[in-house]
Amino acid sequence: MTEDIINMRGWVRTAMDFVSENTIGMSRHWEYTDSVAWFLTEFMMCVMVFGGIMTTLLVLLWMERKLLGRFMDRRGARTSLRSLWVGENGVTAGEWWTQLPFGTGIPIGMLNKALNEIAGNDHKLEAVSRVKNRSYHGVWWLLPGFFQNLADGMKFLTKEHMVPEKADRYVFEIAPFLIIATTVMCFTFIPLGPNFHSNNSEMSILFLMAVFSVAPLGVFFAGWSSNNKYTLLGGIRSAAQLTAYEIPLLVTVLSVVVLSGSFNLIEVIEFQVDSGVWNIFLLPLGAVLFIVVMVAEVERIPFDMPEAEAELVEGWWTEYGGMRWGLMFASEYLRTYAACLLFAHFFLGGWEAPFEDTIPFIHYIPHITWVFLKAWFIFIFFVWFRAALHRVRTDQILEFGWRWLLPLSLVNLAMATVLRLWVYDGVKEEWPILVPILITSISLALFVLLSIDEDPKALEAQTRPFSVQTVDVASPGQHRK
Amino acid sequence: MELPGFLMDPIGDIFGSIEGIAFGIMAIIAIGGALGTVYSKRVAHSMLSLIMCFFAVAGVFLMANAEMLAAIQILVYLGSVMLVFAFGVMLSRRQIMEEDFE
Repeated sequence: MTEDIINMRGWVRTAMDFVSENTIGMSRHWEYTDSVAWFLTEFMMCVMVFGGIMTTLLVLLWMERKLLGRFMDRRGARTSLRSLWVGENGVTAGEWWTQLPFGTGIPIGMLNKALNEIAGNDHKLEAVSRVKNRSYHGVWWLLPGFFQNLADGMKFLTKEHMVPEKADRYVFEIAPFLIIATTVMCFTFIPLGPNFHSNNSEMSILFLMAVFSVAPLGVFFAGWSSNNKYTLLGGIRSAAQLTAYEIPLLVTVLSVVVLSGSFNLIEVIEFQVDSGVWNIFLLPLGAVLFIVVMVAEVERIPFDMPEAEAELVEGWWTEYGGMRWGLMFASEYLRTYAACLLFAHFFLGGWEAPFEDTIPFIHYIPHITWVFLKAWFIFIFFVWFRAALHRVRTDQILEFGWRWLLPLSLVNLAMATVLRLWVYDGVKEEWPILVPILITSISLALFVLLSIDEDPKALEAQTRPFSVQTVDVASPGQHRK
Repeated sequence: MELPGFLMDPIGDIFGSIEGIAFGIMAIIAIGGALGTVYSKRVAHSMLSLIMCFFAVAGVFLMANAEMLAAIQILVYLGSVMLVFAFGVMLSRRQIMEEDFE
């Protein structure tokens, strides 16, 4: 096992042993002391993993808001971050650097002043500036917009719970439970650190995938029971898409399992730590497939047909409101979070720090940091897809899934099998150094070759598929001919 | 510290038989789900009951230390077979809330 300075499970076990020995151990049922301590440990670990995931979910929502504002060039979202540094329209989030201790903020203030002078920002009307700067609350260290999600949650909690008159009431009430409960259960099987996991069963990947695949049923029933044709369409689309993408997902996961030789998620990570190479350098195709399939599985934008706002009002959750809607929204993000964490564990080495063997003292950083950093890094890609791509038609989604992703995932599985059987020498316990370099460079070359898809004839003809008009600035005495 | 007997005896009984109690709950849910599958009037309700039954059966497998079987039960029967059922039922004949439209 990887050495970690946070031995959370050990600490909790010690504390629970103490508690158990002083209550049950003193009574006449002392033979149950160990069992009770074990139960309390497992319970505490479950609670801690749940709490960790739920609090760091705020980071995900915040990242989505800010990054999407950045990618889509929307002003409000950008102002809040930039205003910390140099004011937009001459507005800053107050002179926050004066609050730093021991005058450490003085250089920041000087830099800010200089930058503002260079950029020509001024601060003429304070009220106007404050309205324009949406992050101005006087408290700069609260990360502008970070606690918006808590306010949203409060709003959902205070809203009324309504069931449509003609809905199937029982199914309508049960479906959110099916979705939310199975989504939260996914995190039972995802470790957050070497000693920070709630469950370490032999078959954790299989269980994880099994639990992950129950949510479509809940989605389908939610769509059906609302008794609304748009929700029914959304539910059917969701079910079709999720079953179609389940197979490539499972085959891709299977390739990772074949490569590392275990169905246990912790052992998969330990394999990457021991063998010295992260799986993404051995199975680049698998990593790409995994992220594409996961985008479809969590119904994010290039593949979000089930809740296409333009055609089906809000898809399968149109009729839900209040905290049920809020929790289902949260469960969408939890599924995305699970996808990010799984990518980090399967392909990016889980909790292993980059260059852990070569950089000195890096193992003093708790390993849980790397897990979260990698997951958030992967989430940037999810937001990027959402900002850059447009929605795909349903039949195109299904065709893409069955015709391209399924054969490619089978190819990937074959590659993993070949690597495991004939390349990886189990005796030496380490990959030949040439193999990952060769595979990665070949894949990158293929990627570059395939992404040059410009038609040379069209380039020669210099024709554009759309018309472009350049609007000149109108000035007196000049008009367009 | 010694708790009085009328408190400690039931606690000991529960510790001793917790597995039996869990099995009983699972079995009751499974049988109830199976009965619900047969006797529900709406197709969707009987499907939900069948899902409940499958979940309980997976739990029973889990208690018998058959982890693989439980995972496969959820993955194959719940994830795929029930969804195909759902397609078959919902797409062939839409009789949702017939009495409401009358």
